[in-house]
Parts: sequence; C-alpha cells; structure tokens
Amino acid sequence: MRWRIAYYVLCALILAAIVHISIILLIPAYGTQDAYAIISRNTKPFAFHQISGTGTDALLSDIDPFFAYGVCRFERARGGLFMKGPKIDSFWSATVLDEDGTVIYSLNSRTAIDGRLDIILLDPVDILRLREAQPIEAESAIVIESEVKAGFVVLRVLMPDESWNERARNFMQEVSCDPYRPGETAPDANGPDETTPGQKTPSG
Amino acid sequence: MRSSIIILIVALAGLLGGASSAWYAIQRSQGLGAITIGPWTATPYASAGEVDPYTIAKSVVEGSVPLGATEGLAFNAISDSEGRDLSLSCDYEISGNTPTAKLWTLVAYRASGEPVKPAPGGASALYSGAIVRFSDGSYRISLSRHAKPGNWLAVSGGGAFRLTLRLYDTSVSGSSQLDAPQMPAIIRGACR
Repeated sequence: MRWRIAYYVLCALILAAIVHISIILLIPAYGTQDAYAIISRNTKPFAFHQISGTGTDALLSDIDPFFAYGVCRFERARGGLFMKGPKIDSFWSATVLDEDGTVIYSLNSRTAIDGRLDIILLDPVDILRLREAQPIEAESAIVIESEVKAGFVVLRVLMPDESWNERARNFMQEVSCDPYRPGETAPDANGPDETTPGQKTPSG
Repeated sequence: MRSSIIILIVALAGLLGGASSAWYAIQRSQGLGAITIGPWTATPYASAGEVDPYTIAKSVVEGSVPLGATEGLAFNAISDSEGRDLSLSCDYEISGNTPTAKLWTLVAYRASGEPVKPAPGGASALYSGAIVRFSDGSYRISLSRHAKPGNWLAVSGGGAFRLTLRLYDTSVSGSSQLDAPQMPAIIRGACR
C-alpha cells in the first residue's frame, strides 16, 4: 500500500513538472498583456510616440519618473528601421526589442556615435545590399543585423528636474522612425530594369 | 471506480501543483540568472540568447520592458536587509554605496506597479545627481511618511511596496564583474 501511494505521488509530481514547464514556455507565445501586444494595439508602425506619465492607460509599465519615454514599432514586411534623433546634452538610452520583449540591442548616449541617436536595423539580406550600395546615411549610423519580423524600440531621456521637461519633449518630437531599404536611396547601383523582390511596398 | 477516483486526484494534484508553482516562480522568483546582493535582486539581460525562460515569462506577464545591457541594470527590493517585507507604515534608512554608474534613480513603487504617492513637500523618487553625500561618497536616504532632514524619500499611504534602484550606463552587467558588489543596506526604523 505504501508503495502504491509513493507511486501516485510520483505520478502527480511528474505531471506537475510537465505542467509547470509548459506554462513557463508557452506564456511568451500566448500572453496578451506583454509590452509589444499593448504597444501594437495602440500605436501605428513606423511612427514615434511619446509616452506621457504613469497613468493606467500608459503603454509601458515599470516607468522611471525621471525619464521621458518614447516608443516606435517596426514591421519587417515594410523594410528595415531607420531611427534618427537630434543631439541632446541629457543622458538617453534606447533598446531594440522583439515581439517577446527580448532585448536585441541597446545603446546609450555614451556608446552612440557622436552622442547621437542614429541606428539602422536590417536583416542579413538587406545588410548585403547596404554594403553594396554604401549610402551616405549608413556612414554615421550604427547598423544592427537582426532577423526579427517585428518589434519595437524604447527610447528613454533623462529629465533630472522639471526644467528639462521642455528640452526632452523637443528632442522626442524630432526623433524620426522610418522604414528603410538600402537599395532605394542609392543612385542607380543596379540597372533600371532590375527589380528586386524587396522593393515592393505592401499596401496598408 | 476506486482507481478512476485515484487517477482523478493524481491528475488534479499535478495540474494544480504545476500551475501554482509556475505562478509562484513568476511572481516571486527573479529568474535563474538573477544577481542577489542583500535585499536587492537584478536580472541582467546579457544578450537575447542567454535570457532564461522565467525572466521572459515574467516580463510578458508584467508587460514590463527590461533595461538593455548597455542601458543599465535595475535592482528591486521587496524586503529590508533582515528579510522583512517592506511596509509603508515603517521608516527605513537606505545607506551605503552603489556600483559605479553614470547615474542612478531610486523609486518606491506600489505592488500594482505605480510609483507611491509622495508625502506633501517631498518626492517618492530620487536621482543620484540631487543626493547629499558624505565625504567618502556614500549616502544615507531616509524613507518615511514624515519629513526628514537630508535625503528624504517621501512616501504616503500604507501597505506593501517595493524599491527599485536603476543604475544607468553601469559596468555592472555581466555576473563576472560582481565579485565585490556594493549595494545600500535597507534598515527598518520605527513602525507606526
């Protein structure tokens, strides 16, 4: 009898372990309250949004009150991401995240080139095109290679006191966040009749 | 008949046990790669491939956005240095030193994730640039519902809360650099 009970307990434990592991591993696939889900419900892709304050309708939880936040969502189908911002004396940092909220790349005002926000996110194929075309905008930008299908960038700007609010807001307003295809802006690197599949622009 | 009841009990126990342990792991634990220094815990995001599934599940459930490795590192404390849960009805003294960073912020949050409402005349969040320090660079912060001299982290209300200390642009991001970590102690004072 004792062995039987031990056997049942063992069965329950194994089942519990399987349930535990599947829940943990399935949460990223089925979660609907994660940051990307909330951001994609409330913002358009390739448009930079400032996030105001810490209300209940805030797009991000876990907000640091000393920072101004902005987000920009990107979708691979519309091309790579080209994000650019003006110079600001205040400390800022940016994180590129994928749909699951995993960090792909992060930088801050000290590690950025010349202290400016200037990043290009491309997939490996577009990286090759970029190397071929060598556009002028790629010279000063940090080029990030990633195969993510969609994701978002979170930009944080330090506001040590209220006198910085205005400056941070002005900085945020000038941040651009656009789709980017390396071949298009280059002066005819290929023949004019050569169309690459990447140059189709999907509607909507 | 009897055996089917036993199978049912075993299945229920397994489901409940698995679900509740998963919930507990997400709510309370800080992931496998967490750094713990006294009451403080942080989960460094070394790189996308090295993040453990518990950390990802936790950030999905909370809807939070982690700080990237180059941005900084966020330390959370839900208890004082002696392991007692933080309560807004108590006074606390947060003193010591922080690892090298360009700047840091200390914020008191409610359990719901919003910053604690500050007491009149104070702020429930502090910035390293506005901290009064001792000559050796260390500092002492008084957390209280009543006005305090020096660095005052002003809180109001009651109930549990958590402290988040975010280090920005810090060298502390991989576990290898944490041989001699320094984080402030949280000492409980009078409770009312």
